[in-house]
Amino acid sequence: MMDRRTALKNMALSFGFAVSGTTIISVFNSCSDAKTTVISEFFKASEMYSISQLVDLLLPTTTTIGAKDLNIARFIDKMCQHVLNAEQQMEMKLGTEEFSKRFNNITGKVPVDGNVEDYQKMLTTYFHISEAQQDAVFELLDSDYQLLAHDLKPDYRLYTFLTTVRELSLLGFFTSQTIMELEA
Amino acid sequence: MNKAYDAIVIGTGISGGWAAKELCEHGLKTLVLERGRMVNHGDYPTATKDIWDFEFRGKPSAAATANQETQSRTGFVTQETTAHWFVNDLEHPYNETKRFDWIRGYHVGGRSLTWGRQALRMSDLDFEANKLEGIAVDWPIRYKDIAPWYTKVEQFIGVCGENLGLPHLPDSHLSPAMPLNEVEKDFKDQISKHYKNRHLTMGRFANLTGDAQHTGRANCAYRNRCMRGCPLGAYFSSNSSTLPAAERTGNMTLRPYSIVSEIVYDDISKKATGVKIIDAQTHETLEFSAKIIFCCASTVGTTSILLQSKSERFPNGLGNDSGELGHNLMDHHFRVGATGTTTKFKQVPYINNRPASFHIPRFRNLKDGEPQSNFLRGYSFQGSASRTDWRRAIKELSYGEALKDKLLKPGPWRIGMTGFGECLPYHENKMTLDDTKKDQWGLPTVTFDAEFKKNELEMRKDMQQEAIKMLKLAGFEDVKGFDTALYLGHAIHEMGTARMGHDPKTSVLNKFNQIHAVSNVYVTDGSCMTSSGNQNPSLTYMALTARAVDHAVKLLKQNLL
Repeated sequence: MMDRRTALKNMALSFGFAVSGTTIISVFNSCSDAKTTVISEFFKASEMYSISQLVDLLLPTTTTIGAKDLNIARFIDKMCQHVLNAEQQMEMKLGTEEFSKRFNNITGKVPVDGNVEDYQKMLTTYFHISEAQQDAVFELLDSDYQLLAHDLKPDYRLYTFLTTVRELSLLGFFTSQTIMELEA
Repeated sequence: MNKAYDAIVIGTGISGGWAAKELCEHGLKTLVLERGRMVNHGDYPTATKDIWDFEFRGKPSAAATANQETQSRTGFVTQETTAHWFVNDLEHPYNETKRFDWIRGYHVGGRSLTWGRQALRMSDLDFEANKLEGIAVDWPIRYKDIAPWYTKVEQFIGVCGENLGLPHLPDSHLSPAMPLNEVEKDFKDQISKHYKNRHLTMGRFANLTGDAQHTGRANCAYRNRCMRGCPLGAYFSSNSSTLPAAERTGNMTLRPYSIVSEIVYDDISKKATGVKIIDAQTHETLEFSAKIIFCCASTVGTTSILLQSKSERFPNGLGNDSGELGHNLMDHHFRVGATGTTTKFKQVPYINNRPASFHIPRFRNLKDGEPQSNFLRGYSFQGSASRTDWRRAIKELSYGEALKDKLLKPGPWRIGMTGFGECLPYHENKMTLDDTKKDQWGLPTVTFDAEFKKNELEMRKDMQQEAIKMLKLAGFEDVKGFDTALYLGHAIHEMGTARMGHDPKTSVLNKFNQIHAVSNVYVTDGSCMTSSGNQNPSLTYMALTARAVDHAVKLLKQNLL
């Protein structure tokens, strides 16, 4: 079995957990023996729950470790807090709200009550789209939000959130020591 | 008390390091001034870090970017891995009448720590071009004047690569080339098949390979982290090579935190007598005297110092009788080319860690080449092929186990190449000083007013078209052209603002890099360039510096300075 504890230990060492902020949630609640707490800086606790769910679906734990094992949700939170500029942060906040709204529309629940199937439904709805639609999404995201037509703004917000979470998941996962040493 | 020296060198970058080494090795007591902090060889804080050791995985934080906003426009220098080698833009402001990306490294070693290491000789195709085409002024030197100095420099710095016997890319003193990978070899074969005057070769890089001994340095270990500083000294920098050589003579005094505010001129002797400096930390003003002064503070740095050095004799700046000081600002234009992929060579094992790229030397407007183009001069390509990693999936919406498994394996090969194009010297492309906007040391700030023009724009069209054409002919798929940044400064090859020439009325420096009217002041950094060529210019700066020191020392021995 993985070396999940080692992964967690490495991660703890690399992040230091010495961050300011007050939101404390349990991220590793699926595995009681490795339970630990993380502090988030950018997202609220309820939003961190959504991000953890998404991360687990984006890069799931299978016979090999997944994003959850490397606490990528916390990595995403840190990157949003420190690397995004003020404008990008504002768009990310709006995107998080938009995601919550759509989640409610599609599942009839608030995100924090959603289960794996609900989050899966979200990804199926917004990621299982045709190639032409995908191209349109990335074209939309290249636009200046402020100059966008009013009716395009909700999709811009939603996909800003989803693609940022996705890209940061990939970055955090594939540039981690665990994965890079696995690949080498 | 201020001490007198035989020589003063302003700047410790690629030219200053060479001036220091050569002057000291000739026995001159030399004061070497650096405006920034001390960096000893080995003081490379990120050199041994892995990507996961960086808090933001190499990306600059928003707070860090706020301090380096203008330099972050390059998209790479301000990464977490290298940001400490570039100045704080807020502490070192400048002005842009037109956008100019001024990328600066204020510390001992300067940008020799972060240079691209491509070391290419210029040829008579370059040195004769201005005269033949009636552009600007003629270079006062030809290839034969600089050739032995290129060799001397290459022997010391160590350059690996392959000689091709091309007149426009003269053979160099080289150690064995780094290998091309299978995809690049195939591309090379395809180019040879389709073109008579186009050649793909491994670039000539100042990274050590082969058997030659270089004091205190080891062969390249393919870490591919050169820009962070190399603990092995495997690539050439002032810190690993020239400054230690100067230090070994016992003749060098290196003074960091020394901002030269003025070169002091004496109208009776018609010579410079020394320099005034401001201590960057204490703001104290000091003066040092010397028999000769080497200006190696970078193109913009040196030109600023000369413009600041006003006297009754030189009201517009030291040596500025021609009015050309600050004018003819050039930079190469690049980030135009093409990319492609191939599904071949899937089984070839490959680790993407070679710190060098392939090179396709200039093939336009050669005397014996193809029909003339609708632009003057030419360009070369630099590029590489490698297997794509997880980043190939960024612009997708895929997810799940299949995505994870796919990205744990190397992706298809991708090849990319960018042109490096010559920029003509235009009098109106200039930098000036703004006395109304001072920096924290009370010195005027620089204003840039320069742009690429029709010749460069026409050349760029050709660069993109030819890159696409070559990749398609070679069988690459999904070939796409690109043409992104078009701002001076972006290639970090700024040059030309104190040009060499025959005539004091139209140039600042003579054929030995002396200021025409002030013979004991030599300028040997990029500001001396009369035209830009398309070659990465550092090797030429180093060769001209070594040549100028030789000249200065000979004159000094004859009591002529």
